[in-house]
Amino acid sequence: MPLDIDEGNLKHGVLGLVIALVEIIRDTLRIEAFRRMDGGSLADEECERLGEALLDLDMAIEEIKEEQGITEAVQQVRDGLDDIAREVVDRMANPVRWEEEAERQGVC
Amino acid sequence: MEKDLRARKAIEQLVRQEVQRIASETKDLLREMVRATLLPELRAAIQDSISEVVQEALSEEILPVREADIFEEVSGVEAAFPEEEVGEMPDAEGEPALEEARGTKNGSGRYAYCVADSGEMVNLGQIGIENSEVYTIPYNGLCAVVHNCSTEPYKSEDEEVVKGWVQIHQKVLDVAMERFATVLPLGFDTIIKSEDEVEPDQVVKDWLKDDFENLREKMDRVRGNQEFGIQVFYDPKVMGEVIARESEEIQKLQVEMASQKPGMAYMYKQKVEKAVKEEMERRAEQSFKDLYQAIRNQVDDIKVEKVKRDRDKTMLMNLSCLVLKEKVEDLGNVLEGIDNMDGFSVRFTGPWASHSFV
Repeated sequence: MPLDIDEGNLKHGVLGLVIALVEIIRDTLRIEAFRRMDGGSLADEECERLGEALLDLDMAIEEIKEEQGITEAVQQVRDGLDDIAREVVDRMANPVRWEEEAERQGVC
Repeated sequence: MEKDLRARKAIEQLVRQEVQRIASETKDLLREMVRATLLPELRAAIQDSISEVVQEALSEEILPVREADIFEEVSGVEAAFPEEEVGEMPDAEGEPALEEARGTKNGSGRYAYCVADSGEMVNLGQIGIENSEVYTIPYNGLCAVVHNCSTEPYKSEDEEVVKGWVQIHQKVLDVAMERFATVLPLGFDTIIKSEDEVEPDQVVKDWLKDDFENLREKMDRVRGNQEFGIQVFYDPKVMGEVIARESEEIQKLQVEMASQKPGMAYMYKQKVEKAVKEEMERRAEQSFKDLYQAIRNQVDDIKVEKVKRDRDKTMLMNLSCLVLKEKVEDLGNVLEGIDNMDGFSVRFTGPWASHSFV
């Protein structure tokens, strides 16, 4: 679960964190765009514009990552967040874990 | 230009709405999560970064000799002792001083590596942590493999130091396994303390005595077995290519994509990627079931461990298996078959002491 963004200095770490968040927002955005397109509420022209905008956003993010040399740092933040999310889901979805948790809390 | 602007505004609004919606639904959960997990990690990461920068700045000045001290002060690292003294090299001169520092001279604790299936009393030599002398304390056909130490646990904030200790711990287990065939491994830093002036060796004996039934039973269970680690990986690239070749749905999407304008083509590309990913997950699940069964048939006991992330390949499963010695070859053949599958690879490690099954 460690959120290891130690890239040697603070700038890398913080920038990596920011871009990782932007990427996550981009992903959410993409999902929403698909929902609207598949829902049929958008005209072809609007779909095209939406796609182009997302494409631009993608390219901008890639450029920044390349420029700043933070591709690795961003991936680490995302991996860290994925691990946390997985852990939370596992904790909620897996009854065996509830007992273990209760036991641990009882012991500590 | 104006179109661009409008699209951007639309997206901006979309984002805001979506974020607000998600935030309001999961506010409490998020807050709890952030507080519990993210904050300490972030704080540690930032602290690390700051201390590194500070350290750099300081060492650039005139104090190169005291660099180590500075680092300790800044980051609060309490390395118990310098790394090089913990290495595998026997360091006759360094050792006594070290022991004194830890107060281990007349060590009233016993660091236990494992319980072995033998009543022998032997000295295994200076193979322990910090070159300690490792020997056995027998009781009724069992023996504990130990070295003398203080009652303080081995602790260090320096990961490398700890790694070194754990490796030595593992090495002692290997030696014990070689010599006694069957051992019940104990975790790193298992220290048996003596209280009230009782001879520490006697405390260990009492422990073996009190837990005798249980230990015997476990010993019977793992005798003749060896533990192996099996990790199966697949290469998402190869798997993706196979899927793209085989799936009609994806081929259809790709044909449609070719005739689209850039914006729509982008959306199609995402669609294809998503379809490939979903198909890959479906196949991975199926492979897991098939391969698990194939491996299960060859082993005495099996445990599914957490999968870990790897750089270019995805870990499909991570298993600990208890294998009868005469079955090891059959298992090897099964694994070789898996290794030869397109896009799959297998890592087979062991034999280990049976950590996962006792």
